[in-house]
Amino acid sequence: MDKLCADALADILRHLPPRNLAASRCVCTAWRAVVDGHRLLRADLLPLSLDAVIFTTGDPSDPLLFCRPTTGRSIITRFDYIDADMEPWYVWSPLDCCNGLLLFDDHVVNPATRQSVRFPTYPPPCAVPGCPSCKDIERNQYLVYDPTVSSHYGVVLIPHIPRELSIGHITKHACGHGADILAMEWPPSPFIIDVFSQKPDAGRKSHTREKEKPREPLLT
Amino acid sequence: MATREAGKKMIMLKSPDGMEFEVEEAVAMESQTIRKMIEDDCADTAILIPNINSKILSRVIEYCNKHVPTTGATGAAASDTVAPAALAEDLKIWDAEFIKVNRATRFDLIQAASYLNIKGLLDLTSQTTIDTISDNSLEEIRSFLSTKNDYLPEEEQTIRRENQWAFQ
Repeated sequence: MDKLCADALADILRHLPPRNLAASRCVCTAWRAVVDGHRLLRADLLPLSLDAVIFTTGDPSDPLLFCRPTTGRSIITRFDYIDADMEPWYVWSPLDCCNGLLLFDDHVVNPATRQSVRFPTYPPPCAVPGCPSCKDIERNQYLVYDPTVSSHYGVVLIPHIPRELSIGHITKHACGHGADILAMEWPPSPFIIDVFSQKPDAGRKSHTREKEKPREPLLT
Repeated sequence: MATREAGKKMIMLKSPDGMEFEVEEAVAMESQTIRKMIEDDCADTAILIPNINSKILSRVIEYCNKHVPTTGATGAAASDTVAPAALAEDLKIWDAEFIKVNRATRFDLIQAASYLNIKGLLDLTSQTTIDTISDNSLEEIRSFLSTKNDYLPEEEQTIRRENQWAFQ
Protein backbone atom coordinates (compact mmCIF):
# COMPACT_ATOMS: atom_id res chain seq x y z
CA MET A 1 0.00 0.00 0.00
CA ASP A 2 2.89 2.29 0.76
CA LYS A 3 3.81 2.56 -2.87
CA LEU A 4 0.35 3.65 -3.94
CA CYS A 5 0.54 7.27 -4.94
CA ALA A 6 -1.80 9.77 -3.31
CA ASP A 7 -4.01 10.08 -6.39
CA ALA A 8 -4.55 6.35 -6.60
CA LEU A 9 -5.32 6.14 -2.90
CA ALA A 10 -7.79 8.99 -3.28
CA ASP A 11 -9.43 7.08 -6.13
CA ILE A 12 -9.96 4.10 -3.83
CA LEU A 13 -11.13 6.06 -0.83
CA ARG A 14 -13.66 8.12 -2.72
CA HIS A 15 -15.72 4.94 -3.08
CA LEU A 16 -16.24 4.88 0.70
CA PRO A 17 -19.38 6.23 2.40
CA PRO A 18 -18.73 9.32 4.58
CA ARG A 19 -18.67 7.35 7.85
CA ASN A 20 -15.88 5.05 6.70
CA LEU A 21 -14.10 7.91 5.04
CA ALA A 22 -14.02 9.84 8.31
CA ALA A 23 -12.74 6.75 10.10
CA SER A 24 -9.99 6.22 7.54
CA ARG A 25 -8.50 9.61 8.47
CA CYS A 26 -7.32 7.79 11.60
CA VAL A 27 -5.48 5.01 9.78
CA CYS A 28 -2.27 7.00 9.33
CA THR A 29 -1.05 10.49 8.52
CA ALA A 30 -0.76 9.74 4.81
CA TRP A 31 -4.40 8.71 4.61
CA ARG A 32 -5.53 11.77 6.47
CA ALA A 33 -3.47 13.92 4.10
CA VAL A 34 -5.16 12.26 1.12
CA VAL A 35 -8.69 12.57 2.53
CA ASP A 36 -8.17 16.21 3.49
CA GLY A 37 -6.02 17.16 0.50
CA HIS A 38 -8.50 15.80 -2.03
CA ARG A 39 -11.44 17.13 -0.03
CA LEU A 40 -13.09 13.73 -0.11
CA LEU A 41 -15.23 14.49 2.94
CA ARG A 42 -17.92 17.04 2.35
CA ALA A 43 -17.30 18.87 5.59
CA ASP A 44 -20.41 20.94 5.06
CA LEU A 45 -22.58 17.81 5.04
CA LEU A 46 -21.23 16.15 8.15
CA PRO A 47 -22.87 16.04 11.55
CA LEU A 48 -22.26 19.10 13.65
CA SER A 49 -23.08 19.68 17.27
CA LEU A 50 -26.66 20.50 18.15
CA ASP A 51 -27.28 24.18 17.58
CA ALA A 52 -30.99 24.64 18.04
CA VAL A 53 -34.30 22.84 18.14
CA ILE A 54 -37.16 23.73 15.86
CA PHE A 55 -40.58 23.08 17.31
CA THR A 56 -44.21 23.76 16.60
CA THR A 57 -46.77 24.82 19.18
CA GLY A 58 -49.87 23.52 17.47
CA ASP A 59 -51.08 27.08 16.97
CA PRO A 60 -51.30 28.31 13.42
CA SER A 61 -47.95 30.04 13.46
CA ASP A 62 -44.55 29.45 11.98
CA PRO A 63 -42.35 26.96 13.85
CA LEU A 64 -40.25 28.39 16.65
CA LEU A 65 -36.58 28.12 17.46
CA PHE A 66 -35.32 26.94 20.83
CA CYS A 67 -31.68 27.92 21.26
CA ARG A 68 -29.11 29.85 23.21
CA PRO A 69 -29.15 33.54 22.47
CA THR A 70 -26.37 34.38 20.04
CA THR A 71 -25.80 37.04 17.48
CA GLY A 72 -24.22 35.03 14.71
CA ARG A 73 -27.06 32.66 14.04
CA SER A 74 -28.04 32.13 10.44
CA ILE A 75 -31.01 29.87 11.11
CA ILE A 76 -34.42 31.43 11.18
CA THR A 77 -37.82 29.84 11.09
CA ARG A 78 -39.35 32.26 8.64
CA PHE A 79 -39.55 30.30 5.44
CA ASP A 80 -39.95 33.19 3.05
CA TYR A 81 -37.11 31.80 0.93
CA ILE A 82 -39.15 28.79 -0.12
CA ASP A 83 -39.89 28.96 -3.79
CA ALA A 84 -43.70 28.78 -3.69
CA ASP A 85 -46.60 31.04 -4.59
CA MET A 86 -47.94 31.42 -1.08
CA GLU A 87 -49.54 34.41 0.58
CA PRO A 88 -47.18 36.10 3.05
CA TRP A 89 -49.36 34.94 5.95
CA TYR A 90 -49.17 31.30 4.90
CA VAL A 91 -47.99 29.11 7.80
CA TRP A 92 -45.34 26.56 7.04
CA SER A 93 -45.82 23.57 9.25
CA PRO A 94 -43.27 20.77 8.99
CA LEU A 95 -44.54 17.23 8.47
CA ASP A 96 -41.26 15.62 9.42
CA CYS A 97 -37.64 16.40 10.12
CA CYS A 98 -34.45 14.40 9.87
CA ASN A 99 -30.87 15.39 10.65
CA GLY A 100 -31.35 19.05 9.97
CA LEU A 101 -33.72 18.87 7.02
CA LEU A 102 -37.40 19.76 7.22
CA LEU A 103 -40.16 18.22 5.17
CA PHE A 104 -43.16 20.29 4.16
CA ASP A 105 -46.08 19.32 1.98
CA ASP A 106 -44.14 19.46 -1.24
CA HIS A 107 -40.78 20.86 -0.23
CA VAL A 108 -37.65 19.75 1.53
CA VAL A 109 -35.92 22.65 3.25
CA ASN A 110 -32.54 23.11 4.87
CA PRO A 111 -33.04 25.96 7.34
CA ALA A 112 -29.29 26.30 7.92
CA THR A 113 -28.54 27.12 4.29
CA ARG A 114 -31.99 28.43 3.37
CA GLN A 115 -32.20 26.09 0.44
CA SER A 116 -35.47 24.56 -0.57
CA VAL A 117 -36.32 21.95 -3.16
CA ARG A 118 -39.78 21.60 -4.57
CA PHE A 119 -40.98 18.10 -5.43
CA PRO A 120 -42.57 17.22 -8.69
CA THR A 121 -46.20 16.14 -8.21
CA TYR A 122 -46.43 12.72 -6.63
CA PRO A 123 -47.85 10.01 -8.86
CA PRO A 124 -51.35 9.01 -7.73
CA PRO A 125 -51.64 6.01 -5.37
CA CYS A 126 -53.75 4.18 -7.92
CA ALA A 127 -52.65 3.71 -11.48
CA VAL A 128 -56.19 3.67 -12.88
CA PRO A 129 -57.08 7.11 -14.24
CA GLY A 130 -60.13 8.72 -12.67
CA CYS A 131 -60.46 6.13 -9.93
CA PRO A 132 -63.17 7.38 -7.55
CA SER A 133 -61.95 5.68 -4.38
CA CYS A 134 -58.21 6.03 -4.43
CA LYS A 135 -58.14 9.79 -4.43
CA ASP A 136 -59.11 9.66 -0.77
CA ILE A 137 -56.17 7.58 0.31
CA GLU A 138 -53.88 9.69 2.38
CA ARG A 139 -50.20 9.03 2.47
CA ASN A 140 -48.09 9.94 5.45
CA GLN A 141 -44.81 11.51 4.41
CA TYR A 142 -41.51 10.82 6.10
CA LEU A 143 -38.08 12.21 5.49
CA VAL A 144 -34.99 10.00 5.55
CA TYR A 145 -31.52 11.52 5.61
CA ASP A 146 -28.26 10.34 7.13
CA PRO A 147 -25.27 12.41 6.05
CA THR A 148 -22.86 9.84 7.47
CA VAL A 149 -24.07 7.28 4.97
CA SER A 150 -24.92 9.34 1.93
CA SER A 151 -25.45 12.94 0.91
CA HIS A 152 -28.80 12.00 -0.63
CA TYR A 153 -32.09 12.24 1.19
CA GLY A 154 -35.31 10.38 0.51
CA VAL A 155 -39.02 10.79 1.10
CA VAL A 156 -41.14 7.79 2.02
CA LEU A 157 -44.90 7.79 1.47
CA ILE A 158 -46.79 5.28 3.59
CA PRO A 159 -50.46 4.96 2.72
CA HIS A 160 -52.95 5.49 5.51
CA ILE A 161 -55.56 2.77 5.18
CA PRO A 162 -59.12 4.02 5.69
CA ARG A 163 -61.57 1.71 7.46
CA GLU A 164 -64.03 1.42 4.62
CA LEU A 165 -61.59 0.63 1.89
CA SER A 166 -62.14 -2.56 -0.05
CA ILE A 167 -59.57 -5.28 0.11
CA GLY A 168 -56.80 -5.00 -2.36
CA HIS A 169 -57.74 -1.51 -3.36
CA ILE A 170 -54.34 -0.05 -2.70
CA THR A 171 -53.10 -1.38 -5.95
CA LYS A 172 -55.96 -3.23 -7.57
CA HIS A 173 -58.77 -1.22 -9.01
CA ALA A 174 -62.42 -2.29 -9.04
CA CYS A 175 -61.93 -5.25 -6.78
CA GLY A 176 -65.52 -5.33 -5.54
CA HIS A 177 -66.75 -4.98 -1.99
CA GLY A 178 -64.70 -7.20 0.20
CA ALA A 179 -64.66 -7.52 3.94
CA ASP A 180 -63.74 -4.57 6.09
CA ILE A 181 -60.05 -3.76 5.85
CA LEU A 182 -59.64 -4.06 9.61
CA ALA A 183 -60.43 -7.74 9.40
CA MET A 184 -57.22 -8.27 7.52
CA GLU A 185 -53.69 -8.40 8.69
CA TRP A 186 -51.82 -5.16 8.58
CA PRO A 187 -50.56 -4.06 6.21
CA PRO A 188 -53.00 -5.31 3.61
CA SER A 189 -51.41 -7.01 0.71
CA PRO A 190 -50.46 -5.65 -1.72
CA PHE A 191 -49.35 -2.46 -0.02
CA ILE A 192 -47.33 0.04 -1.94
CA ILE A 193 -44.89 2.34 -0.21
CA ASP A 194 -43.45 4.93 -2.50
CA VAL A 195 -39.86 5.90 -1.91
CA PHE A 196 -38.56 8.97 -3.63
CA SER A 197 -34.89 9.57 -3.61
CA GLN A 198 -32.29 11.87 -5.04
CA LYS A 199 -30.40 8.79 -6.05
CA PRO A 200 -31.10 8.02 -9.68
CA ASP A 201 -31.47 4.29 -9.10
CA ALA A 202 -33.84 4.27 -6.12
CA GLY A 203 -37.62 4.27 -5.90
CA ARG A 204 -39.76 5.74 -8.60
CA LYS A 205 -37.63 7.49 -11.10
CA SER A 206 -40.10 10.31 -11.60
CA HIS A 207 -38.74 11.97 -8.48
CA THR A 208 -35.09 12.01 -9.32
CA ARG A 209 -33.47 15.15 -8.04
CA GLU A 210 -29.80 15.81 -8.21
CA LYS A 211 -29.56 19.52 -8.48
CA GLU A 212 -29.59 20.84 -4.95
CA LYS A 213 -27.97 19.16 -2.05
CA PRO A 214 -28.74 19.96 1.57
CA ARG A 215 -25.96 21.09 3.82
CA GLU A 216 -25.12 21.68 7.40
CA PRO A 217 -27.46 19.41 9.31
CA LEU A 218 -28.90 21.11 12.32
CA LEU A 219 -31.14 18.76 14.22
CA THR A 220 -30.12 15.44 15.62
CA MET B 1 -5.21 13.95 -36.06
CA ALA B 2 -5.75 10.24 -36.11
CA THR B 3 -8.38 9.10 -38.55
CA ARG B 4 -10.60 6.15 -37.95
CA GLU B 5 -11.58 5.36 -41.52
CA ALA B 6 -8.41 3.36 -42.02
CA GLY B 7 -10.08 0.54 -40.11
CA LYS B 8 -7.79 -0.55 -37.36
CA LYS B 9 -5.15 1.98 -36.58
CA MET B 10 -2.52 0.52 -34.31
CA ILE B 11 -0.83 2.23 -31.40
CA MET B 12 2.46 1.16 -29.85
CA LEU B 13 2.68 1.20 -26.06
CA LYS B 14 5.99 0.79 -24.32
CA SER B 15 6.58 -0.20 -20.71
CA PRO B 16 9.61 1.07 -18.78
CA ASP B 17 11.17 -2.41 -18.80
CA GLY B 18 11.41 -2.22 -22.58
CA MET B 19 8.48 -4.35 -23.71
CA GLU B 20 6.37 -3.08 -26.58
CA PHE B 21 2.69 -3.74 -27.05
CA GLU B 22 0.86 -3.11 -30.28
CA VAL B 23 -2.81 -2.43 -29.63
CA GLU B 24 -5.72 -1.14 -31.66
CA GLU B 25 -6.30 2.55 -31.27
CA ALA B 26 -9.85 1.96 -30.02
CA VAL B 27 -8.52 -0.31 -27.29
CA ALA B 28 -5.83 2.14 -26.26
CA MET B 29 -8.40 4.93 -26.16
CA GLU B 30 -10.23 3.17 -23.32
CA SER B 31 -7.58 5.05 -21.35
CA GLN B 32 -8.52 8.72 -21.20
CA THR B 33 -4.86 9.59 -20.70
CA ILE B 34 -3.85 7.88 -23.92
CA ARG B 35 -6.92 9.20 -25.71
CA LYS B 36 -5.78 12.70 -24.91
CA MET B 37 -2.28 11.97 -26.21
CA ILE B 38 -3.72 10.59 -29.43
CA GLU B 39 -6.09 13.51 -29.85
CA ASP B 40 -3.25 15.93 -29.23
CA ASP B 41 -1.21 14.15 -31.89
CA CYS B 42 1.44 13.00 -29.46
CA ALA B 43 1.14 9.34 -30.40
CA ASP B 44 3.08 9.12 -33.65
CA THR B 45 5.82 6.98 -32.17
CA ALA B 46 5.55 4.51 -29.33
CA ILE B 47 3.93 5.88 -26.19
CA LEU B 48 6.04 5.27 -23.13
CA ILE B 49 3.88 4.39 -20.13
CA PRO B 50 5.96 5.29 -17.07
CA ASN B 51 5.72 3.40 -13.77
CA ILE B 52 3.74 0.49 -15.17
CA ASN B 53 5.73 -2.68 -15.77
CA SER B 54 5.04 -5.02 -18.67
CA LYS B 55 3.24 -7.58 -16.53
CA ILE B 56 0.69 -5.05 -15.31
CA LEU B 57 0.47 -3.26 -18.64
CA SER B 58 -0.41 -6.50 -20.39
CA ARG B 59 -3.21 -7.11 -17.88
CA VAL B 60 -4.50 -3.57 -18.40
CA ILE B 61 -4.50 -4.11 -22.16
CA GLU B 62 -6.31 -7.40 -21.61
CA TYR B 63 -8.99 -5.50 -19.68
CA CYS B 64 -9.31 -2.80 -22.32
CA ASN B 65 -9.51 -5.40 -25.07
CA LYS B 66 -12.42 -7.00 -23.31
CA HIS B 67 -14.21 -3.75 -22.56
CA VAL B 68 -13.79 -1.89 -25.83
CA PRO B 69 -17.24 -1.50 -27.40
CA THR B 70 -17.56 -4.21 -30.05
CA THR B 71 -18.02 -2.59 -33.44
CA GLY B 72 -17.79 -5.50 -35.79
CA ALA B 73 -14.09 -5.93 -35.09
CA THR B 74 -12.39 -9.10 -33.97
CA GLY B 75 -14.88 -9.99 -31.22
CA ALA B 76 -17.90 -9.61 -33.49
CA ALA B 77 -18.15 -13.19 -34.65
CA ALA B 78 -18.79 -14.38 -31.12
CA SER B 79 -21.05 -11.55 -29.98
CA ASP B 80 -23.24 -11.15 -33.06
CA THR B 81 -25.99 -13.38 -31.81
CA VAL B 82 -25.83 -12.50 -28.12
CA ALA B 83 -28.25 -10.03 -26.51
CA PRO B 84 -26.69 -6.94 -24.85
CA ALA B 85 -27.93 -7.98 -21.40
CA ALA B 86 -26.30 -11.37 -21.68
CA LEU B 87 -23.16 -9.65 -22.89
CA ALA B 88 -23.12 -7.39 -19.85
CA GLU B 89 -23.60 -10.41 -17.62
CA ASP B 90 -20.70 -12.15 -19.36
CA LEU B 91 -18.56 -9.09 -18.81
CA LYS B 92 -19.40 -9.09 -15.11
CA ILE B 93 -18.32 -12.69 -14.75
CA TRP B 94 -15.19 -11.93 -16.71
CA ASP B 95 -14.45 -8.94 -14.44
CA ALA B 96 -14.91 -11.06 -11.31
CA GLU B 97 -12.45 -13.58 -12.71
CA PHE B 98 -10.05 -10.84 -13.82
CA ILE B 99 -9.83 -9.27 -10.37
CA LYS B 100 -8.89 -12.53 -8.68
CA VAL B 101 -5.29 -11.45 -8.21
CA ASN B 102 -3.08 -11.03 -5.22
CA ARG B 103 -3.05 -7.80 -3.29
CA ALA B 104 0.18 -6.43 -4.72
CA THR B 105 -1.05 -6.94 -8.27
CA ARG B 106 -4.37 -5.32 -7.44
CA PHE B 107 -2.64 -2.23 -6.06
CA ASP B 108 -0.48 -2.11 -9.17
CA LEU B 109 -3.64 -2.29 -11.26
CA ILE B 110 -5.23 0.53 -9.25
CA GLN B 111 -2.13 2.62 -9.73
CA ALA B 112 -2.16 1.91 -13.46
CA ALA B 113 -5.90 2.55 -13.81
CA SER B 114 -5.51 5.80 -11.92
CA TYR B 115 -2.62 7.00 -14.07
CA LEU B 116 -4.12 5.85 -17.36
CA ASN B 117 -7.56 7.10 -16.28
CA ILE B 118 -9.59 4.00 -17.12
CA LYS B 119 -12.77 4.50 -15.14
CA GLY B 120 -14.17 0.98 -15.42
CA LEU B 121 -10.95 -0.66 -14.28
CA LEU B 122 -10.49 1.88 -11.50
CA ASP B 123 -14.02 1.28 -10.19
CA LEU B 124 -13.54 -2.47 -10.35
CA THR B 125 -10.21 -2.53 -8.55
CA SER B 126 -11.13 0.14 -6.01
CA GLN B 127 -14.48 -1.38 -5.15
CA THR B 128 -12.84 -4.75 -4.52
CA THR B 129 -10.44 -3.09 -2.09
CA ILE B 130 -13.18 -1.01 -0.50
CA ASP B 131 -15.30 -4.10 0.14
CA THR B 132 -12.53 -5.41 2.32
CA ILE B 133 -12.04 -2.10 4.15
CA SER B 134 -15.64 -1.15 4.85
CA ASP B 135 -16.54 -3.44 7.69
CA ASN B 136 -13.19 -3.77 9.39
CA SER B 137 -11.69 -2.02 12.37
CA LEU B 138 -8.82 0.38 11.93
CA GLU B 139 -6.34 -2.23 13.17
CA GLU B 140 -7.58 -4.75 10.62
CA ILE B 141 -7.39 -2.20 7.83
CA ARG B 142 -3.85 -1.30 8.81
CA SER B 143 -2.71 -4.88 8.87
CA PHE B 144 -4.58 -5.79 5.69
CA LEU B 145 -3.08 -2.92 3.76
CA SER B 146 0.23 -3.17 5.59
CA THR B 147 -0.04 0.47 6.52
CA LYS B 148 1.72 1.61 9.64
CA ASN B 149 -0.01 3.73 12.22
CA ASP B 150 2.35 6.67 12.51
CA TYR B 151 0.14 8.71 14.83
CA LEU B 152 1.17 9.44 18.38
CA PRO B 153 -1.53 8.15 20.72
CA GLU B 154 -2.64 11.67 21.66
CA GLU B 155 -2.64 12.66 18.02
CA GLU B 156 -4.90 9.76 17.09
CA GLN B 157 -7.28 10.69 19.89
CA THR B 158 -7.50 14.24 18.57
CA ILE B 159 -8.25 13.06 15.03
CA ARG B 160 -10.84 10.66 16.37
CA ARG B 161 -12.53 13.43 18.26
CA GLU B 162 -12.78 15.51 15.08
CA ASN B 163 -15.13 12.94 13.62
CA GLN B 164 -16.42 11.27 16.74
CA TRP B 165 -19.72 10.39 15.04
CA ALA B 166 -17.92 8.03 12.68
CA PHE B 167 -16.99 5.73 15.55
CA GLN B 168 -20.39 5.56 17.25
